[in-house]
Amino acid sequence: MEKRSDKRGSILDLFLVFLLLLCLLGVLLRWDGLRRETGEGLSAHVLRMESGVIYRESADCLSAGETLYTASGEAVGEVRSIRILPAPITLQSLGRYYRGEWPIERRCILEIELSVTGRMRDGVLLLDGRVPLAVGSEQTLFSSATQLSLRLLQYGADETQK
Amino acid sequence: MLMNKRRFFSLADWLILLAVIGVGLFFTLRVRAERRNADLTQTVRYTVLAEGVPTDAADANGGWEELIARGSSVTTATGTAHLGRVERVRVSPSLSATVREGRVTLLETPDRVDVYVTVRAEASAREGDGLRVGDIRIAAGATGDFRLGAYLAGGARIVSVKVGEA
Repeated sequence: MEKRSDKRGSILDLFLVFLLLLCLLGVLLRWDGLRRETGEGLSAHVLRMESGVIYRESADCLSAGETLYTASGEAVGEVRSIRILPAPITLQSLGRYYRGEWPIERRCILEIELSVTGRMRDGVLLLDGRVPLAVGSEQTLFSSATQLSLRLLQYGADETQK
Repeated sequence: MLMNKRRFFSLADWLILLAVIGVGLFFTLRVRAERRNADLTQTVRYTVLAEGVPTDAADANGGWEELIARGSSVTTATGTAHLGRVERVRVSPSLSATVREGRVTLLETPDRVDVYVTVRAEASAREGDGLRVGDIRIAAGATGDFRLGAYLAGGARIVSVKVGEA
């Protein structure tokens, strides 16, 4: 008899722990939701980002107005403008460096301006609300048809959002 | 006395815990499956580039058009995932950069070519998740090993993706 009531007691303990965890989770989610709804701590920025050397066909698959996402599907921002730049070639021969360019119809570098709205911490935008996006850091971002490895060159305030 | 000491977690507790996790997992998977079913299916054409590949394999098999026959199946290297059918094969000389007379010059590489294979496939599209054929994301810039008809292109790159029939 005593054993059975012990068992019931332990199940009750477990449910209480569950209930407590659920309450905590609910509070956390609600708090996060409220922050998102009110836009608390959000600011608009324009990021100038540059790809490495890519094939020209790939560059043509991206257009202004498209949204870029992280691999987990979180929207990062909207492509505001695209510049196609020549891709440099640097070779070393007999102790000297030589510089040339790929024909732009074969390979190029993409420079894009990305409008983002996000939270900043210590002057650095938090990607996905967590990952700091510092100048010089590289991120793999996706549009509907492209996958780009982009390096952040510069932060700028988004004047259109003011 | 020690025998009467109450254990915090008993076998019954663990069973309940497993049941709760099982129910949670079931609903999560069901929601995911429903979402996947709700995806939009679109016809895509994507081009895979096998860059700087030796021509000997094609020479021994009647040329690239024979080796990567139109209409043949495109799969992952292991053949487990079907990624569409070959629609077009284009071969162009492979270029490499070298220094000549004090300048960087692009020269055609002997016995090596760039092979562009256009593949037609039915892809599912969902916002934020891009285009997928099966579980494979189709995006310009992505690399992988593709079996293109009878040819295995290791480390090939998707260079363009177009959505639509034409």
